[in-house]
Amino acid sequence: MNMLTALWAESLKVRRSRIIWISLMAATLLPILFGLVMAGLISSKPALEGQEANMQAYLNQLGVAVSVGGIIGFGFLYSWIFGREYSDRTVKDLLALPVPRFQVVLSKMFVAALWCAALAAWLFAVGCATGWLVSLDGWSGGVIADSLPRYAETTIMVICLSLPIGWIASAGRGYMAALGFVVLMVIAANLGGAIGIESYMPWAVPGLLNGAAGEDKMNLEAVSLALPYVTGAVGIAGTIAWWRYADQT
Amino acid sequence: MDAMIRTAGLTKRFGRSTAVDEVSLSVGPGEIYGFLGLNGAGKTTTIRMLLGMIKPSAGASYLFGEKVNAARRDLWSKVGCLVEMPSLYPELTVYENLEVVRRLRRLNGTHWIEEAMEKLRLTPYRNRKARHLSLGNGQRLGLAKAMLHKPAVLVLDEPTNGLDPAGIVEVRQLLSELAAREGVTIFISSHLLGEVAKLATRIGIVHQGRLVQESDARELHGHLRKRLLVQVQSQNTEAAQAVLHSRGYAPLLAAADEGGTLATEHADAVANPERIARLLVEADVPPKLLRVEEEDLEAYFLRTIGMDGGMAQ
Repeated sequence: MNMLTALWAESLKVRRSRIIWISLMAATLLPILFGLVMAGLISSKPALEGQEANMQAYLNQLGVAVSVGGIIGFGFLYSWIFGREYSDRTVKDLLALPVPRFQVVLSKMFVAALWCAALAAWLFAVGCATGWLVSLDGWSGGVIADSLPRYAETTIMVICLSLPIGWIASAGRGYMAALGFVVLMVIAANLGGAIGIESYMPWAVPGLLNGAAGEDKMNLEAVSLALPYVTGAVGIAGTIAWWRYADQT
Repeated sequence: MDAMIRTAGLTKRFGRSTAVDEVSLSVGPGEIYGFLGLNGAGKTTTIRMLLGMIKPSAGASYLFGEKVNAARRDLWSKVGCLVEMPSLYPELTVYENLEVVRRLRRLNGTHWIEEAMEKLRLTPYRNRKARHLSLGNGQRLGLAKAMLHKPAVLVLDEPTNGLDPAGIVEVRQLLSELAAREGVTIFISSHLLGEVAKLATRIGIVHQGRLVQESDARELHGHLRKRLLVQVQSQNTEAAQAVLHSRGYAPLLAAADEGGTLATEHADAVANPERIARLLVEADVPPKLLRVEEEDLEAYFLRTIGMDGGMAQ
């Protein structure tokens, strides 16, 4: 009962926020823009160089968009959902309620995950519709169905990689530290690529899986594939421990 | 009578600095305890330890006789709090802010919200988003959230911040009624002794983390200094001083900018100013003015914490 109520409370805050519309707008415009570029309706030849302009390539691009843009976008949502409690000073009330703190943390993480998953699903759906509208070569239900499992896996990975953001936002008592962490991880993932250890950097794994570093690096070892999930588990445990044991000054 | 709130040697250190230093206090049922101190005196840190938000470095705090710790969730169903500024979700309406608290506190029925809004005069603003509330109404909403579940103990940190004078009186009456009629125990922090003295039954003064004085609010006026101000012609100042001094009234020049004004805290002089008047008339240095002046509460507070600059006028 408490958990359901905590979920209701978190979802109400999200539903009433402006950020839901901003994120929805981003998840709508991004695939449309990519689709128009892919179809050549917007001149962006350098971006398409070396790529085939068909539905399969377009869906791959959407996967890369979620794996790279999602780390920033989903990270921002997680930093907002946790950081706002500190910025608006509402955390004091949450701590003085007869609701276990782990339930508050889990409900926040669940609502944020649901939100991210819905955005990713919406982005994919808009992408499919855009591909059809701009008549991309190879548009078919089969191509879409084939792309879906990897796209879903990427989304789940990126959501897992966003879970530690809740911890950083709580420990940093606001958005800023969390947003800084997101940027740092994106930079670290790129630096990892430069020195050849990208497959062992959790934040680089979704991008690699979608061919962001080339097709030759798409086949990842099990250890690499497990890294985002391990990171997510550490994120959940760290956030709960922080809320449970740290001084809330 | 068992204490509803108790702290025993409560201490909090942040690195080398000690924010709260062995504070021991006890608040009985239905009492209103005024916890007074300057900004940074340790009031909020004490309150956060009382509410289990901060772990003490030493000592402990107890609510209803139970030791406070973050895991004791059952305690919070009987406690309401307002810590520092009111904490509101700006995108939610007044009603929704209260609805979130109602549901998380597992209170059945919306009458809890209606009653709280009625008490705090928030009914006209029920559909207004919290971001559009004035500072005073925001403070009222914070209080409504704290009182929604009719707690047995209310812990309030500067609850009248941002309220206009009418609002301050209203909140004061509301808290007095809660304590008197419903037996709610109230722990209220402030930096305004004058304000707290009108409400509290007992007052504790905290300074640099230490509880430097505790007194019954009714006895507070007994602690205030009184003095008799005697004004004479400025050319008679020395003569008048000599007369009073010879009778043991130990007069002092009150202040450099008060030429011809003498002041004494002698109890007999303060109680019987007519005697002083007669004495000065007989000595041919008649007073122009005699006035008994009482130290105000803020001056008393500053004197207690060692920051007095003389008796306030």
